Amino acid sequence: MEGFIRTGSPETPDISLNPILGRLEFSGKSLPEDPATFFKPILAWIDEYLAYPVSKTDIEIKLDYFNTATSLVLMKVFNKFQEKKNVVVHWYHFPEDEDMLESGKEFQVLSKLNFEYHEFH
Amino acid sequence: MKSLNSIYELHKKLEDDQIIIAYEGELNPQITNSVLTLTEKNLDKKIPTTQARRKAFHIAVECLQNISTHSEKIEKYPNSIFLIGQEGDEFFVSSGNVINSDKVDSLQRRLDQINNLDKEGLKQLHMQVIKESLLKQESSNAGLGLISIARKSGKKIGYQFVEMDSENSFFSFQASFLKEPETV
Repeated sequence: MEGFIRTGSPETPDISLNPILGRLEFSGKSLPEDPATFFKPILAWIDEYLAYPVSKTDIEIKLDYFNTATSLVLMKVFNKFQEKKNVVVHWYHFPEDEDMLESGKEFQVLSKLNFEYHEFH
Repeated sequence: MKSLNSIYELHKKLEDDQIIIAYEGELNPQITNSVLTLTEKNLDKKIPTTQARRKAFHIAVECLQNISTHSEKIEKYPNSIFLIGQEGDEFFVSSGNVINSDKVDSLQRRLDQINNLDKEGLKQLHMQVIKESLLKQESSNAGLGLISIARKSGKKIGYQFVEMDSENSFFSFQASFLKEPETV
């Protein structure tokens, strides 16, 4: 299976999906009006990956901003990993960005996945 | 010809009101992106604290995308207005757009529902709406933007409907927040 790399734009995040390391990284900003279209190939990639996942999957969310439309898509990403073993979501936030931290905690409750919180440096 | 004085007067009015950005015109996805780019630049220049900048930008995104995604095109009134400014100890994000009058009731109900909730209530509603939207597989996010705006603002959302003709109403919207966050 091949990796997936997409460079971001002012409205969309950088995406790097590595099936060998089991590392899915989203960084930058995500505020497209129609994130469903943008994320469609990513959700498809994840389905393919989940057929033969590696022993541990790390989902790195390094977003400094995302709109509410994106939050629905993120939820879809997390839901795909429900009941899968050894999945950790690494949720990054700026030290002073309490809202982003809280948002991570809400996703943790909604998805029931294992979350680890990290600060951007 | 329009009086040249009126240009100066409009400029002076915007300066006096400490407007950070003002846009009047059509809002489609492409224009929305341009307005947001400009908004971000102006916020960087005119709002000193990162936290307030983040809040203003977040509210601006949801506000503009609400207009450009949810409002169907009304040929007769294609234009919307969008402003960010400050008054006293608050920043505010305001918008105005024309909607079909038959949507007024449901929008008003949703706004009242949001305005009647406290911080915890809004959090619960936010999570509930995310869950429901995923179950229904619907692309529309059913008021998630408004809930999110209310959560960022920490204040009641201001709104007003003005009947323009038998079919259309003007929807004015305003979300404000304190320049300095309250210390708990």
